[in-house]
Amino acid sequence: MRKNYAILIVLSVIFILPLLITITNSFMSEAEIWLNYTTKLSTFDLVGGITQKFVKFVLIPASVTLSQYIAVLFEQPTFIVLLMNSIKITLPVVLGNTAVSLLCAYAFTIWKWKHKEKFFFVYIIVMLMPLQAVLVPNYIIADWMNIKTSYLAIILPGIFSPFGVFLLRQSMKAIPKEYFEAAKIDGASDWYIFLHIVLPQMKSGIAALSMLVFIEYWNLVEQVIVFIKDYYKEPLSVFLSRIADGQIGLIFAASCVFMFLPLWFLAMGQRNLEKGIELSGVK
Amino acid sequence: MKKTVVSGLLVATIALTTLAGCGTKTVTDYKKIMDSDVSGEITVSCYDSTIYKSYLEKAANLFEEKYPGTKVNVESAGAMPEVKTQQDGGKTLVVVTAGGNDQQAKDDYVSRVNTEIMSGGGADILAMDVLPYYKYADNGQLEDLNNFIQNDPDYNKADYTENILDATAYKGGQYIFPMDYTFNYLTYDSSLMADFPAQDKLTYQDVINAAKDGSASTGNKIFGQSAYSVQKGTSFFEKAYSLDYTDFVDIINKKVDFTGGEFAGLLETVKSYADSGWINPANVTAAETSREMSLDKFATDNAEKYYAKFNSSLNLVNQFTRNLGTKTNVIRLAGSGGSSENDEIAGLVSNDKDEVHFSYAQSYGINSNSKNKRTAWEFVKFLASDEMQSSGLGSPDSIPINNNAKGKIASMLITGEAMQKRAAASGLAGNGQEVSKELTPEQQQALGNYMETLDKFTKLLNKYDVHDEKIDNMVITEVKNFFTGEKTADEVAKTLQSKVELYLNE
Amino acid sequence: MKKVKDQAIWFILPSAIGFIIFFIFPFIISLGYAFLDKPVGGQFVWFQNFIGLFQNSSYQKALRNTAIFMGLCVPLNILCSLGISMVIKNVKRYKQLFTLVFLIPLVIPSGSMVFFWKMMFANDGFINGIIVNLGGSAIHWLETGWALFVIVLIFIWKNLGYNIVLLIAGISSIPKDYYEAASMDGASKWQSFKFITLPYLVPTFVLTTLMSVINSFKVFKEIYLITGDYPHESIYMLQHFMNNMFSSLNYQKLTTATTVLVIGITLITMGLFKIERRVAE
Repeated sequence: MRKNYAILIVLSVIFILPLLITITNSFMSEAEIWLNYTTKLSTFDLVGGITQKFVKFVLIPASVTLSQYIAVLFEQPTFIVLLMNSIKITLPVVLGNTAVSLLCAYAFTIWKWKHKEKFFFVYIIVMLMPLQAVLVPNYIIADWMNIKTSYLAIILPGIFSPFGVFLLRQSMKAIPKEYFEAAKIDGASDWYIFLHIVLPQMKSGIAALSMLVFIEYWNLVEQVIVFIKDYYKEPLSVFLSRIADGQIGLIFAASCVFMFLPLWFLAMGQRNLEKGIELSGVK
Repeated sequence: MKKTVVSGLLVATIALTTLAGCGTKTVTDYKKIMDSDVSGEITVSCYDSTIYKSYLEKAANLFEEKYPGTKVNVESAGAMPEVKTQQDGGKTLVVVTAGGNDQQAKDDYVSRVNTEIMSGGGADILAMDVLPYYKYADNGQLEDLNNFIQNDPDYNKADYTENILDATAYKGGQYIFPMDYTFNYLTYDSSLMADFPAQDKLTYQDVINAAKDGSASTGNKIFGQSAYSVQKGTSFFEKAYSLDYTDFVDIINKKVDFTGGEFAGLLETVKSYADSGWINPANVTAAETSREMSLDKFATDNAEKYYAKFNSSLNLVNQFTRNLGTKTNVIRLAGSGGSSENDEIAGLVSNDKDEVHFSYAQSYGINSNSKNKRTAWEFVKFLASDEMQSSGLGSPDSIPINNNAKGKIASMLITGEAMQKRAAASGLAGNGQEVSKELTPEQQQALGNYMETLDKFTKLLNKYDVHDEKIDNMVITEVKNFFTGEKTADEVAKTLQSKVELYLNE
Repeated sequence: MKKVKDQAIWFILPSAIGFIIFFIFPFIISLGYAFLDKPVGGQFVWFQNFIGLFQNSSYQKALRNTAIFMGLCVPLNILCSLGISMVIKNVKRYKQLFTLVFLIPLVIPSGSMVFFWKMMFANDGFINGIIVNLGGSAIHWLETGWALFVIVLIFIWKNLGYNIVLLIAGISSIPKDYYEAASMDGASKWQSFKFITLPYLVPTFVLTTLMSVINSFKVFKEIYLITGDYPHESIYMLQHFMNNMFSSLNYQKLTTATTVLVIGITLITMGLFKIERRVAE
């Protein structure tokens, strides 16, 4: 028993380390970060006979300062704008995709068409297509719909993404068939069954899906750089991907601000997430 | 049964593409294009490097004035500039610097342009700054500008520096139109080598032969670098490597030869130069030593004497005007270049194939997907016109491609007008002094001498290599391992061979 | 019956319309490019791109490396996550906390994640610092055969949590009575694991395998950022090939490669479903 805890604690430390470093280092001063992460030798080092320097991961800041947060949040007024942009992209996708997928997954459950499994297989196969391959056709379609420079070019494909259908259908399978039949006998319509029987059962599946979609769209980079040309309209993820190499003095605080929402989302839904995937795992 | 779905999809695909494939193969009639009117809207796309975009915007305005009914949009991309406010003596200064990781922003830009082009769209004119133009040409996405040149009665070949245009042709097509050019030349220090045999073209060995005995006794390095030298490749290795570039990497024929011995030999040679004290260790490869800068170091570096120095062509005019007492050319760049008082022109560096390299700062190509090629071509021509090229707004560091503009730009450099214009363009107030636009007789004389030398050197330029930034980066990164002693020359050559081969064979 | 079908159509319609416009069309268009000789104004060339692709030495290398990577990662990931899930299942307290910990890699922004791993494995990185301090000599992690080891590690770090959650769910859905009955019959712990846990987890294994394959293509974004476009040749993967094809405007070659890939994954998926069905019977 004790051995089990030991294994888990050791592994947890390894898994949590990047998060811990990001959080603690966000309270370091820029100078301290430079000291820890740059390995270019200065003249002082050469005089001191140091010929090689290595990266140091330091967990406890020498002095706690909020300067990074001030620099990120207040000295760059655009940061808040970018954060809002991230929300503007992510929120509609999460809500839209969940709603559309729920309806579709329900339809697959009650549909009696004999080829529905084949149609469902198409959903899965299309989901497997790598991004690079569909970027150009997506652009062609966005151009055709005249939305190629707006968020819609990113949001609309997100709403109709087949992953949600797949996940929700799997978890809907766990709802016993008897529920539907009993309701049917009582003369309930499909809408009624959907709203009053299926939806309450699906809380966990919905949580799971919305969390995974949230994380995916919060971290979105590739589609954005193709469609959004104005950098004041870019979401935070793009900004962060560019900041990563250049301004290491800011990256930790920026990451923390960036991570705050998804972490909160994850913590909120963690209990449900497990349950949701549990259901979708049971066929 | 699932197979029926898949095969059904395949059939649909084939049907669709056959439909799409029909009728797209039409021969473009350039004569017809050139007969049409200059009108309508075009878009120019460039990667934002500040001065450049505002230059294009100014050109666009002038163009719209000249051709009513046209509209030129300038699109640019880049990392978001970092805006910081600073308090300075009661005043709030807004400081704008290029933000974030430039390489990432560049990749993002290329990726977006690629998507647009592959979707059959994209800007009409593409600035070939960070885009790998040979790939676009290979895929037929750039117009061969010769088609326009041949059908344009207003195009006068003699107006442009012909050998520069010719040397930038790729696989027999003129896919880009360079707007300017720069080249390197060597100077020698006449206080160290009074009787150096200056010639039009020389090799590194010529310089070494003339200077090595002196260097051994005085301890001064043979090769140094002028502070004005802004051309790509700051280290001696990079220069020597790009001189024989096509021996190692032949992009056109997709041949790679790093392991043939020549490359390892080059590495060893450069190392032996450093060991003999002929070049600065920092000159071996720039990134290897720290660049801690202090005023003291700056001063000592500036006093350092070299037998020969690399200079960029933008410094050439100073060679003729430095005795006139006028501040002429560029603001001295941060960095140290050693003493330059006694520098005299030694000549251009050539390789054993008699090739002399040059490069350019700005060049443009026309997207094959463009719907308004007539206007696009007119705009490219407008950028290369006497009017734009002698405006003094363009690339500050290089020589205009337009022959008529060369003299005008040079005289603007000599009077100091160019400096003022540039300051005004970048939003800085000038020093308030009105400069005389008239040349004094001495200045006239200097201008004449400069133009004569420039002309002589320009005629010798005959080689523009198609470079690929990715390959260059691989080489520079890998070579560092040799100069730091972590890998042998053969190991470096082997690694590069496999990496570059993989890249070119994709 | 007729009425039910009609109603189902109404439920599926919003999704189906969007799905056809934004997914089926792009899918078909991108498949179509695989039969053209260039992306704009191309000619139909039948299977020429496919022939060219299989003769391409870079593609062969990428295909081989990807096969090795998947062959290594997918089973390793499942084994590790199975082990950890069994351990988590056996602890009494902080179950959810431990599960959450393993999900953290999913939320860390790729920028910071890339930064962290770069700092870890750079030539002058943290690990080399420790090695040198202990008297060893620095290893070029990303420029030698070690690179494969590094990216397998990153892959597992990033995806372990996903699988753990799926497996814990699977394990807890196995009825407890089976274990009780087995221990009454005198079965050892190992035996009940082998004869009860493993067979009942087959559907979950199918799911995790498929998700691992899909996720391995997602994690490439980070690997790409850590090791660059042209990494050591042992980790030159299909994803590198495809990315580089994209940046050299060779869209037809890119779509040819993805078509082959999609066919491959389709076959794997069909195979997995078949195995699942056979075990279920």
